[in-house]
Amino acid sequence: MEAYKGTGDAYMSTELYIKIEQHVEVNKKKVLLSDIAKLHCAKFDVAKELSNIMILNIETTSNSNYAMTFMKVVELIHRKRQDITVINEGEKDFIIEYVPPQDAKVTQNSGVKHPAFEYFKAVFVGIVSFIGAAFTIMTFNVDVSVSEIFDSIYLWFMGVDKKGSLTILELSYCIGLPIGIMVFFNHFNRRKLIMDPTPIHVEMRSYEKQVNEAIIEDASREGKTIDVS
Amino acid sequence: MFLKNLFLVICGLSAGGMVAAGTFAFIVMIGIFTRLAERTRTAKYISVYENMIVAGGSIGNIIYIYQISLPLGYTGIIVYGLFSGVFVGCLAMALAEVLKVFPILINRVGLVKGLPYIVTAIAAGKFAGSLLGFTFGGC
Repeated sequence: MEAYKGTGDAYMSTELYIKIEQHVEVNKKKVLLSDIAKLHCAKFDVAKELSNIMILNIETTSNSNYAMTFMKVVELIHRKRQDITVINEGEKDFIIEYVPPQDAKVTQNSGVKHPAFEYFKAVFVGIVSFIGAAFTIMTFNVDVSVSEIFDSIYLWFMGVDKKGSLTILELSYCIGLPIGIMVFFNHFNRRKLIMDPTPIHVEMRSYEKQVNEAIIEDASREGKTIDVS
Repeated sequence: MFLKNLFLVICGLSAGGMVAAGTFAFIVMIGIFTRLAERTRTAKYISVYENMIVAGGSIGNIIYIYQISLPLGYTGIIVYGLFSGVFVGCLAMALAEVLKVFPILINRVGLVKGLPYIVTAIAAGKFAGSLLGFTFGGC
């Protein structure tokens, strides 16, 4: 019995913890496991050995997306080492986006190839935001007849009809409105602005997540997912 | 008199604050700015866009309430018309998307191909509709 216990330790399976994000960006054509995943193993040499497994060999030279399942990663690991228990700490399906190296630098810095064009786009969206916000509040004011409501409020409080003239009430409304917007966007506390994402940031992230999920689902429906055969 | 004026100030401030929260929460949550930033890949300028929304909302409101005249002539009209058109176009599509009009329609009709043509047709329809509406009145 004692001897058996001793050999049992030698066959004890090694646990490998893997975390893969939903969307991974790579710049090289031979994608290794360490490029897309974070690995942890109690035996460091095992983690080091397995991080060099080739996951994907990209053939195109243009920007492209590959959907892949975690099962495929497990299969590739087991092909090299059978005695590993793989534990998934990340996504079940994920996207590998290949960005050609010449594009990668500009993507990381700015997002487009020409900075001037990028400023142009940012200015465009900025103007749309500005005029759009102005348009929204004007249509809202007309829609709910703010002026008439102010006339009524003035009459209730002051007992006299202001007959459409502009009073302190309108002034307060004009001050209260920007305060409301800034509170909504959390723009009051500069320090907090860095720590807390604003509503648009949150929307942005949830939109990215939905896009990723759509890519994964589409690939799965068209049978393009890289999966265990 | 002071008390009455104080009431008015409180009333105005809270009305402004609540209207802002409601209206701007609506246009943000419907995802127009998100989509524009994503499409143009300028997500790092989001705080600039937010500042522009704050400025646009406040200034637009002041201009409307105080009926301030802006003597910018045709340039002003064209710029304002064009950009508010872009904005309303995005708003209308975002609204349709949030209400899941297209997935339901496509599902019911059993449409498999031609989604880009539908989007083009919607844009063309909006253009024709607004042109007709403005030309012959009624809207």
